[in-house]
Amino acid sequence: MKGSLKIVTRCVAFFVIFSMIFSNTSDYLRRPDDESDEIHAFYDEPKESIDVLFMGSSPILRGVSPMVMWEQEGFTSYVRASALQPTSVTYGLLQESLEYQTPELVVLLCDNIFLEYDYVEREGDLRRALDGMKISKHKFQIVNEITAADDRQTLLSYMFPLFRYHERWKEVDWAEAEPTPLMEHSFKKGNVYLRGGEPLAFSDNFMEPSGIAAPALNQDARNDIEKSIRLCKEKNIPVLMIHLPKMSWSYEQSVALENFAKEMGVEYLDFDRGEIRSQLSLDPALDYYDQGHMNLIGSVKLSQWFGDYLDETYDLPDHRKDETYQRWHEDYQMYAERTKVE
Amino acid sequence: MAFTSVQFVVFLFLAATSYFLTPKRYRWVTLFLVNYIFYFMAGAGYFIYLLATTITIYLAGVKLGNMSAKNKADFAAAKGELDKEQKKAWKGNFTKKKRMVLIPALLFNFGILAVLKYYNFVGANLNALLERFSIGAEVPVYSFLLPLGISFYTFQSVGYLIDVYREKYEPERNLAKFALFISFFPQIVQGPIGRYHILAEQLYRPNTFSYERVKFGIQLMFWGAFKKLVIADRAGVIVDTIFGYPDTFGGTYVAVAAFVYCIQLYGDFSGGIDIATGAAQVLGIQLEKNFERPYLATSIPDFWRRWHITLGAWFRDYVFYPLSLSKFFMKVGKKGRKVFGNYIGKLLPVLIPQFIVFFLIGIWHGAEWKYIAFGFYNGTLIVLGILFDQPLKKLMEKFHIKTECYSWRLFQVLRTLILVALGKIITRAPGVSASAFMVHSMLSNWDGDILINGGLLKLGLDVQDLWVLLFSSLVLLTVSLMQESGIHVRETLSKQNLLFRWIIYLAAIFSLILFGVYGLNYNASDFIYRGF
Repeated sequence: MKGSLKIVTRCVAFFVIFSMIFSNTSDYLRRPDDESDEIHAFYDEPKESIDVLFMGSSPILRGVSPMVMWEQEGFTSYVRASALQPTSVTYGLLQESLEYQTPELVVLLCDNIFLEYDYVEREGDLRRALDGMKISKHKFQIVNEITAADDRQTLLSYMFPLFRYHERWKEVDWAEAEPTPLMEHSFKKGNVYLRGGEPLAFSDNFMEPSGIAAPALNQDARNDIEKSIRLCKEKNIPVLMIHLPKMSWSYEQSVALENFAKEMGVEYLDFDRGEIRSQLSLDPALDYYDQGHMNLIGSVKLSQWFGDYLDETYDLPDHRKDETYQRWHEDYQMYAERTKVE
Repeated sequence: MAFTSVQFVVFLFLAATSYFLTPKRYRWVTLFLVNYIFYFMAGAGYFIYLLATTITIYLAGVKLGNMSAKNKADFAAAKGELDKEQKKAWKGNFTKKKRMVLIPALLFNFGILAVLKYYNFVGANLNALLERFSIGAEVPVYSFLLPLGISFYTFQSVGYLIDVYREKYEPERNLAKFALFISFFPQIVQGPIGRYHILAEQLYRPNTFSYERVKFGIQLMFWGAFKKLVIADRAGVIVDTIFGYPDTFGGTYVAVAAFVYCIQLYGDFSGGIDIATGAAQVLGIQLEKNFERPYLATSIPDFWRRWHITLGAWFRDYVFYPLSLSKFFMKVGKKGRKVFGNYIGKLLPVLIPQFIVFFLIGIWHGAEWKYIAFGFYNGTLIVLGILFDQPLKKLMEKFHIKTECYSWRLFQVLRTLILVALGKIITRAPGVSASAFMVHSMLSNWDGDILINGGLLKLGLDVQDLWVLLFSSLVLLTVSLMQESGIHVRETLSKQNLLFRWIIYLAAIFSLILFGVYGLNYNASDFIYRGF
C-alpha cells in the first residue's frame, strides 16, 4: 500500500511538472493572433454580465465596436467572431458563450450561409477561432466535424496547439523570446479593428436588382444557423440576423437572406439596403478598409448607429452608473486612448 | 492505426486496463478480443484473410497432432515386431502422410500471400512478355489490397505448423488461443515474427500488473517513437528528395542518400519494433529481439544476424537448413566435389541454399524486380564471402595484418556499412536501372564540396533540421555503442537519482514533441516495413 502510494505520488508529481513545462512551451511557440486572443478574453467577463453577443465572421469582427456602444448607450456587448469563420464554428462558439452569459440579444452575421466551407484549405482560419477556445464539449464537436472532413488535422492538435506549432522552435529567437500566452482580458471586447485602407467607390448599380439569381444557400451552413437560432429561442433570447456593409454584396443575396430570416421568424437588418445605408451615410473613400470590411473610422460610425438602433429596439439596460461595471469604464479609456487618430 | 498515433496510445491504454481488470483466468480471452478489435479497426475486409489462415493452420496443426499421437501409439504397439528396415519404412510412410496435411496447408496460405502480393507483378511481367512476342492475350490485373501484416502473420503461423509437423511441440487445440497467438496486436503489423514455443505461453498465462515493467515498456515506446519521428521521418525528407530526382541529384548526393536511407530505415523499422516490444511489455509479454545494432556488424552475414533477426531466423530454420541438409543438396555436394574440387564442392550445399534464401528474402520485401535484385546482391556478397573466406585469411596472415585490434574492427564495420548502403540504393531507387544509374553517377561524379558548401540545404531540410538529424543520430549511435558494450540503458537509468532520471525523461518527451516530424507541415509517413 505504501509502495503504491509512492508510485501514485511520483506519477502525479511528474505529470504536474510535465504540464507546467508543456504549458510554458506552448506559450513560447504559440502563433500570436489577435482574434484568438479576443475569443479567449471572453472568459474573463464576469458571468451574466454581457447584454448583447455578436457572432459571425470578419465583417462583424472588424465592424462592430462594443466599446463605442458602451460609451454611447451603456449596454455591454462582446464580439465572438473570427475571419472566415464557418457557421459550424459560430454555432459551437454560441453554444459555449451561452454557458457563460445569458444576453438580452444575440446578433448573428450570416453572410457565410452562401459559402461551401473548405476545411482542408481553411485550417489557418479555423485555428484563429479554435485556438482561443477552452477545451469543452463544444470544441470537441467542432473539431470532430473538421477532422471528419480533413484527416490530416487532428483532435490533439486543436486541444493542445503545441502539437500544431511545435516546429516553430525554428522560428523563435530564443535569446529574446518571451512567452505569449492567450490574452486574459480585452479592452476591445472582441473587436479587432483595422486602420487605413484603400479609398474605394461603390459600383454604379450596387444593390440594384440585377435579375441574376442569388447563389443558393449552403445546406450545411443553413442547418448550422437554424440550430443557432433554435438554441437562442430555447433560451428565450431574441436573435437579430444582420448583414454588414460589404461592396461584394447583391440585392438578390440580401433578399434571399431576408426570406430565410422570415422563414426562421427572426428580424433581419441589411446595412447595405435603402434607409439604413442612407442613415449610415458611409463614405467609401474613408470608411472601408477593403471591399468587405470597415476600417476603424467606419466601425465607429457603424457602431454608433447600430448601438442606438439596438438600444431603442431592444430596450437594453444602461450600466454606466453601475459600480460593478467600473472595469468597462477603464476598458473604454484604454480603447479611446488606443483608437485616437495618430 | 499507426503506432505513433494518439489512437494507438489510447487503444493500448484501454487494452491494458481491460486486460489487468479481467479476472486472471480469462485474461487471455480479453487479449484475444482486443487483438481482433484492433485488426477489425484496421479494415473489416482484411478479416477474412486472417480468419482463413487461422482456421486452416489450426485445423492442419490439430490433424498433425492427432496423427502423431496415433502414430506413436501404433508404433509403440508394433515396435517389437518390426526390424530396422521396417521401422525405417514405417517412419517414411508416416512422414509422407504428414506431408499430405502439411503441404496443402502451406500451399493454401502461401497461395493467399502469393496471389495478393505477387499476382499483379507476375501478371504485369507476363503481359510484357506476351506483348513482346505479339501474342494477343492478356493476364488480367486486379487491385488487391494487402491485408494488414499478412507477411508477418503468415510466416508466424506457417512456422508454427512446420514445428508441429516436426513434432517439436504439441499443437494448440483451443481455436481461440491459437487465434490469439496469430493476431497479437503489437506484433501483427510489422513483427517481430513470433515463435509459438516462446510467445504462446506468455500470451496464455495471466500476466500481472508491474509498475516497473509498464514503465520500461513505455520508455521503450518513447524511444521507438523518437527513432521514428525525430530521426527516420526527418531523414526521409532528404531520401525522398534525392531518390525522387535521380537525374538532378547525382554524384555525392547518391552517397548521402544511401547513407541517410540507412539511418531512416533503421530508425523507422527498429523504432516500430521498439514501440511494438514496449506495448507488449506493458501487457507483460516479452517479444523476441529483432535488431542488434546492425550497423555495427563486421560482415554481411553478421549484418543479417543483427537485422530483422526473426525473419532471418525463420528462413534459417524453415528454408536454409531443410534445403542444405536435404538429400538433394547432399548429392549436389558429392557431385560438386568431383567437378569443382573439395573446397567448393563441400560448400555447395551451403552456398546454393544461401542464395535461395536471399532470393526469397528479397521477394519477401515486395513484388518488384528491385527486391529480387536486392536478394541477389546480398546472396552474391554472402556466397563470395564464404568462398573467399579461407584465401583471404591466408592472405592476411601473409601480410601480417592484425585482426584482433580496434582499427581492423572499425575497417570491417565501415566496409560492411558501405556494402549495406549500396544494397539500400537498390531497394530505394525507383527501379533496377535507376539504381544502376545512381551508383554509376556516384562513382563517376564524386564532388565532396556539396558536404560543406551548402549543397545539403537543397535537400528539403533547413540548417536547424540538419542539426537535429545529426544530433539525434549521434544519440542513437551513443545508445547503440552503450548497448554493444553490454550496458542496459533503461536499467542503468532506473538506478540513477530521481532528479537526473526525470530530467532525462522530460528531455526525451519534449524532444519528441518539439522535434518530431508530424503534423500538417509534414506529410504523414507510414512505417516502411508495414508495407512489406
